Order: sequence, then structure tokens, then C-alpha cells
Amino acid sequence: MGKYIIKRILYMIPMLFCVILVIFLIMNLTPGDPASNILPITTQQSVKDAYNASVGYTGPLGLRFLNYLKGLFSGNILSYTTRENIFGELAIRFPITLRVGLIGFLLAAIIGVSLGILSAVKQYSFVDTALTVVAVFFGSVPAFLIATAGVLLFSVRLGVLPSFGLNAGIKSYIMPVAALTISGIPVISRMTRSSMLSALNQDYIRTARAKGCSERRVIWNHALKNASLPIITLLLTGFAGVLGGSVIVEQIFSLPGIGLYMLQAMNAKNVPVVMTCALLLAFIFMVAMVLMDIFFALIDPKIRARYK
Amino acid sequence: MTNTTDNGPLLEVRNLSVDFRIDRKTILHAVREVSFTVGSGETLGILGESGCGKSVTCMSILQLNPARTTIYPAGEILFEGKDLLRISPKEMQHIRGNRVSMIFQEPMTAMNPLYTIGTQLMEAVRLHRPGIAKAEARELVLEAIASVRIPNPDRIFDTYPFALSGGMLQRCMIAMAMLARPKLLICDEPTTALDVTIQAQVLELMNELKEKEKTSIIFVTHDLGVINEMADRVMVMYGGRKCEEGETAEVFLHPAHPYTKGLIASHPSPDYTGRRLPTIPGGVPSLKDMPKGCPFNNRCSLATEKCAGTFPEYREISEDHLAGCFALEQQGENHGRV
Repeated sequence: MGKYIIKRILYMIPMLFCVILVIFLIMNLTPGDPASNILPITTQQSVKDAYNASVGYTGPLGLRFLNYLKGLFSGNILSYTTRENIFGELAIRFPITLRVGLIGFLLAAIIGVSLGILSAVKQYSFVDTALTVVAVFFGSVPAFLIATAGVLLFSVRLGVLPSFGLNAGIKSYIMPVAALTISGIPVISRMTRSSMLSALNQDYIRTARAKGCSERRVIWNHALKNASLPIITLLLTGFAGVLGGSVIVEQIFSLPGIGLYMLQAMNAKNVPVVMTCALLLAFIFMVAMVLMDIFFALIDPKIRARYK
Repeated sequence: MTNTTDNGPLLEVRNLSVDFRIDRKTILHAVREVSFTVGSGETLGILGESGCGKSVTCMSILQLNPARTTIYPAGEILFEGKDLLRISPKEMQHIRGNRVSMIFQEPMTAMNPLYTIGTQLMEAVRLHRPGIAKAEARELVLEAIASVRIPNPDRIFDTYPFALSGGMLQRCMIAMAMLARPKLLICDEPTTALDVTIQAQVLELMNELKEKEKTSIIFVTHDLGVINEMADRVMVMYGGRKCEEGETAEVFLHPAHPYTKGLIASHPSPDYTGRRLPTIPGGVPSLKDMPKGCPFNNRCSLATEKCAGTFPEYREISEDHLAGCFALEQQGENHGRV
């Protein structure tokens, strides 16, 4: 197993290289250039060319790619727009995304999984039906609507929470976190419900009951563990996604997180920022995948046996 | 621990009916007014085609039918003097796997795939003896694994179910069921999923354990050969009803109910050569369109209008041999013996 994990981690290096290469090609081969995206439309071509040259968006592609790699390894890549070191900017922005994402997602995971289990155990009861209706409602309403409704209610009407920014301490985190949590719960709870239901219908659950297990033991020790593989898949991919920054939530609440950072960089054709962010997201995603494999092996002996 | 009195049967099922509520309007009658007894050390075979209510009857004893949809409109299941239909869930958990154990049809899926055999057997021990030391429990489990004639119990203890064959798993299930030395073992088609040689080994093993532990057994199957080998008494079920009941040899030699006759006639015997085997025309109707009266009336060659009205009273064919069929009344003195 240890050997397998090391192998998986080593595989990440060529995969990350491919990610950089692909993003680099997409960013450089598509039409448009930083100067046209940033400077006023009336700017003379000579000024634009000078601007592009000054940020490094000139010369042969291979050389530009090498320059980026050099910057990456020396820890010093300049953003086209701010001319600041991207790693410095990320160091400010990533923790914001991490805080909102981590808290929001953990809450969504805990609440979603609990509600899913409750729904499955009380299948077709009033509780289950009510939870289904609520889940379908919040699952169908886009996250930005929920967020906007929150702003209208708590900022405009009641005036208890700030509508944007991070200047009000813990208060400014409440709505973004809540928006993430609420949009995360429906998917997680529905998924938990269906995997719990299929686990509860298995023969070994009947065996567990027949040998005298209490209902609680049947649910927690026998059903949940078997239901956990799809749930873990959903949680880890969802979590990796959230760490990439929820663009919508960051946009609505004007949080200087990584999602907004990347969006703005794309609009400005800020190639190094887009590439670095994409690299970071790819890295997070790959780590999540390795973690998933480890969890799977820990839970399922059949998978564990394959790695031996 | 309650002691069974010597004269009363270990298990007495009286007038058991089981319904399934499918939705607000639909209620299906899976089992109708079934009564039977199992004495101490006795093996009762329950015989019938698929969908006859055999399994549902057995599951009712330990209340393992799906709790949400199952209704028990009438009847009593008396085990050691207690009505299992009216005890608390807690009391039921104390009986399951302890006083009454059960093994199932599909050994390959009956064990939790994520725990070792040892863990699952240990769980069974510790559920009913919460205070037991781990080492002592492990000793018990290893002994139980050895008693079902599995070589290297130590190795099996740490093996996961996916690494074992169906026969091995069924042995493990039997070992688990016998851990607490139950008074009653319910076997729901335990050998149906196994191939014939393994089936014979498992049956032999069960007979051996039964001799040793004096356990009463309820053995559900659709296989007449297995019943013949295992059961002291047999109950034939059709459409959720008991049609015939009696000592195995007596029922097999002198079947009274047309359904039992049909079943026996369609079973190949060694001296049967040449002609095609007779069959019972038609198939078991689904619970949704079970005929009124005697459920067998639409497949029975002796059926009259009367059969579609009510289910007949049971008639005594000979001592401890009952059958429920209107045709028996006409045959009168003959008692259905042809």
C-alpha cells in the first residue's frame, strides 16, 4: 500500500506538467492579448506591443514556457497586471478561500450526511418526504440566488450582516459560508440517502439483525461503512472543488479569494496567474484523488488486497 | 434463561397471518392463518414453491420482515412461553442470534464484505455476552469455526468473505448461528445456492450439529430430497396457506392434498424411467392475484365451485397428519388415501 501511494504521488509530477502545458497552450494560442484586454480600446498598436513586451507576452512560445517554469521553480512569477509576485498574492487570497471553503464544506458534509442517513433510515416517512422536498428545492435554486436572497434579507432588510467584503470580522464570513453550506447539503444528503438505502437492503444487514444487533449498530457499524465509498468520493471531489474557490460566492460577497482572482486573470488574459491558479487547483485535486484511494483501501479489504 | 417445559413444544405458531402494505390502498396477504409447532430437538421442514410464504413465515418468527411494510394482523408466535409478536425490540434482540438463530439462502452476500469472518463472529459472541474477555471470545469463535469442519480456523478468522467460497461461507454462517447454542435454528433454503456435493456436506454437518446440540430446526426448502433427509415432520405451504402437515414419511407416502401430490409426482425418483415427469399446470400466482378461497383452486384438477369460496377446514388424515382440501370430504372414509 505504501509503495502504491508513493507511486501515485510520483505520477503527479508528469500530470502536473501536462496541466501546465495544456493551460499554457490554451492561453497563448487563443486570440487576444493582455494589452487589448486591459488597455482602453483606442490605444495605439505600438503602445499595445510595448505593453505586451514589457509583461513578457512576446517572443517564441517555447521560450515563454521555459520562462514560466523558471519563475515557478524560483518562486517568483510576476502577474501581468499588478507586476507583483503571484505567490505573494496567492498567500493572501488562498487562506480566505480556504477558510470559507473549509468551514462551509465541513458544515455541508456533516449536515448533509446526517440528514441523508436520517432520510434513509426513515424512508418514506414524513421526515424523509419533507427533507426530499427541501433538498430538491435548494438543489434546484442556483447558489447565487440563495446568496442574493441572503444579502437582501440580512444586509438590506435587517442590516445585521455585511453584504460584502471581509471588514466585519467573523460576521462577514457568515453569509458566504452559509451560501456554500446550503448549496452543498442537497447533493450530499441525496447521495448519502441513496447509498445508505442500497446498503440497508443488502443481505448482510438482515444477517446483522438476525444475530441480535441493535438498530443503531446495524446503521452505524454495518450499513454506513458500506455506504461510505460513494459518499467519500463525492465529499473529496466536492471539497477539492470548493478549495478552487467558489467563483459565485466570492463574486457576490466580493471576497478576495482564489476563484475571483482566477476569473479576473482570465478576463485580463493574465497568463501566469491563470496558469499558477490552474496548477494549484490541479494539485489540490490530485491530492484529493490520492486521499480517496487511501480511504477506499482503508475501508474495503478487496481494494486493499489489490495493492498488495 | 427460561427452561422449556418438557411437555410443551419449543415453538408454537398459532393462526399466523402476515400482510404487506404496499401503499395506502393495497394490502397483500403473504401468509394466512398458519399454525404449526416445533418440538424440542425436532426438525420441521417447510416445503413449497417459490412465493408460497415459506420465507415470510420464517422471517416472522424473528421479526425480520421489512418493518415498514409488514403487518401482523393476527396470530401468536409462542417461543418458550413468550409471544414473539408482542415483545419489545430489546427483548427481540436478546432472542435473535441467542435463543433463536437463522441462516439464509445466499451465503455469498450474507456476510458483511468489510469485516473479517473473525470480527463478525466475535460480534455475535459479544452481543449476547457483553462482559466476555476478548481472548475468551476468540477461543469460542475458533472452536465454532473448527466445529463446522473448516481447516485452519486461525487463518479463516482473519479472512474476508470475498476470499471464501459459498460452501465455506455457509459453514461460517452456521458456525455463527450456533455460537450461542440456540434452542432453535431457522434455515431459509441454506443449501439452494450451493452445488450438490457441497450441499450434501452442509446437510450432513447440520444433522451432526443437531444431534450434538439437540437444537430444533426449521428447514425451509423447495427440494423434496432435502426435506426427506433432514425433516422429522413436514409442512407443505401454498399461496400463504398451510395445505398439509405431518410426519415426513407419512406425508411423502400418503400425500392427501392435491398440491402435495403434484409436488411429489413431479419429483423424479430413482425407479422412474421413460415418460416425461408430470407437472402441476400453471404457476404460483403473485400475491396481487391470489385466488379467493383455496389459493390452489386455479391449478387443481379436483377444484369445484366450493373451492373458490372459503378455505376448507383441516381434516385429520391419520394421527398427526392434517390436510386442508374439500376433496377429502367426498373421499370420506378413504381419508384421501388412494
